[in-house]
Formats: sequence, C-alpha cells, structure tokens
Amino acid sequence: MNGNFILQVLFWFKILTLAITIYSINVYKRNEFYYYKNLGLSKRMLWLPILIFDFLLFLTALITLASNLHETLPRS
Amino acid sequence: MKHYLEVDSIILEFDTKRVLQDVYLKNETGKTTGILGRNGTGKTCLMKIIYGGLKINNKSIRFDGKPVISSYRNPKFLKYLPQNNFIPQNLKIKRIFRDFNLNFSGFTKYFPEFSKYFDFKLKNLSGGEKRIIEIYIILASETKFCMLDEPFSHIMPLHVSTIKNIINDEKKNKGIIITDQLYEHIIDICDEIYLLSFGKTYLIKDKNDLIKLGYLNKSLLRAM
Repeated sequence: MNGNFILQVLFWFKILTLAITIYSINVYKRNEFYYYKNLGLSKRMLWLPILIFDFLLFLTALITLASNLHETLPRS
Repeated sequence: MKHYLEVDSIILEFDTKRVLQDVYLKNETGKTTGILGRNGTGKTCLMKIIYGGLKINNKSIRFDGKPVISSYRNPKFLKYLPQNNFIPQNLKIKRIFRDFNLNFSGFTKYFPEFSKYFDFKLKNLSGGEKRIIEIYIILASETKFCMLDEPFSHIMPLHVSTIKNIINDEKKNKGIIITDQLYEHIIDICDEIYLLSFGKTYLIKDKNDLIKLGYLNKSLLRAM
C-alpha cells in the first residue's frame, strides 16, 4: 500500500460519485430541466460548467495532496 | 407578422409498438390548435418530440417552412408547459417572473388573489396555485409558439375560465397548441382540433367526428 494507490482510489471514487450524482439529478429533477430549457439553457449548458469546475477543484486538491505525499514519504 | 409551425413524418416506436406513424399538425400565429386523444395515444410524446425533449430519427418539424434538425429550441420561438410541475420549488415568485421577463402586476390583473404571494417561495403555494403560475409564465412570456400539456387539470373552474381568457388574449401574438382530457374546454377555445388515434391525426370538423373516431360516445355528446 502506498500513496499512489490511495490517489488512484480517490480518483476513481470521484468518477463514481460524479456518475451517481449526474444520474440521480437527471432522474429526480427531470421536470425541473424544462424550467431552464424554457429560458434557453439546455441540460448540457447547465451540467458542463459545474462539472468542469468541480473536477478541476478535485484535480487541484489531488495534485496538492500528491505533491505533499511525495515530499513527506521517505526516499528509498 | 404570421409564423407557422408544421409537424409531419413522425414515426415513434417503443420496442415493437408503433405509437405515432401518420401525424400532421399545423399551427400559426393567431390560432389555438387542440390535440385530443385517448390515454396512451402519444399526445405528450408528440409535444416532447416537437420540443426536442424526445429524440427520434424520423420527424419533420418546420418553423416558417424551415426544417428544425437539432434538439435545441430557442425559447423566443417555442415554449413548453409540461404535464408535471416544472418550476424548482425553492424559487421565489418574484424571481420566476424576473427570469421570464414578466410583469407581476400583469399577472395579478387576471388573478388578484395572488398579489400577496410576490415574495413567497413556490413551495408555499398549493398545487393548483403553482400550476396557474406555470401556465401564465409560459403563455405570457415572449415567444412565437407555446405548447401546453394538460393546462386545465387541477385548476378550479373559475380559474379555468380566466386561463381561457389569457389564451384568447395571448393568441393575438403567438400560436398556441393545447392538449387536455377536459375536451369541452379544448372545443370551446380552439380554432382547429386534431384527434390522435392509432398513431394518426385526424382534423376534426365537428363533434360527430369525435364519436365516429371513438373518442366520445353519443350519450356524452347529448349532455354537451
């Protein structure tokens, strides 16, 4: 078990939770998308900026964590 | 200026069941077009196809004679009132009117009892009151066509009458397509009525056509 393994688990866990979030919101809020579509905002236009922001935030945190791990781990 | 919306060549299938196959529908500025049909004949599916919410390969939708290919619909051209409540419950009434660029005082001219709700959240209103706000924002906001799926359901008779007045006022500037099972109201306000039966649309000339095509029986017609 090393830092790289934990980072990989974290990455795939994030992908999984994102997929579950997108699916559940698309199902449970499906009628509310019509509100935004009537204002000219498609599903893609709503999802894309949020997903990009969320994923970039996660990547930044992950890279910061990876660099900290790299600095603190004993060199072999 | 008159605008036209035409729909035909639609084929909709679910597994092996063909729901829509020989549909023709036309609406224009100044006219209200009604769609009647028994449950499960595809009225809502037809509206969703026109609005781009249900994607199929075989369809021909034309605005002013120009075919529409993508599923994006410019809200300045077409707006859609779905069958179920669609406004996020946490939004305030004033925010909803601002989003749709509508004047709240114009709304309270038709429904004076709503004036106290300006600062309320939508979730604090009853089901019928929510529906009235939804119908109004779709009908009154700027667009060339609007489609209303079951606008009269869950609305009390007094307000149904007011909504019919709004439809008659708004159709001066736009084309309106309506479907509802409360057929008396559809017959009352529509300039043209299509009956959807076994996947085909039939232009209805009089109430006897509704009997011939199996939508009404004679006893219902006598009662009208």
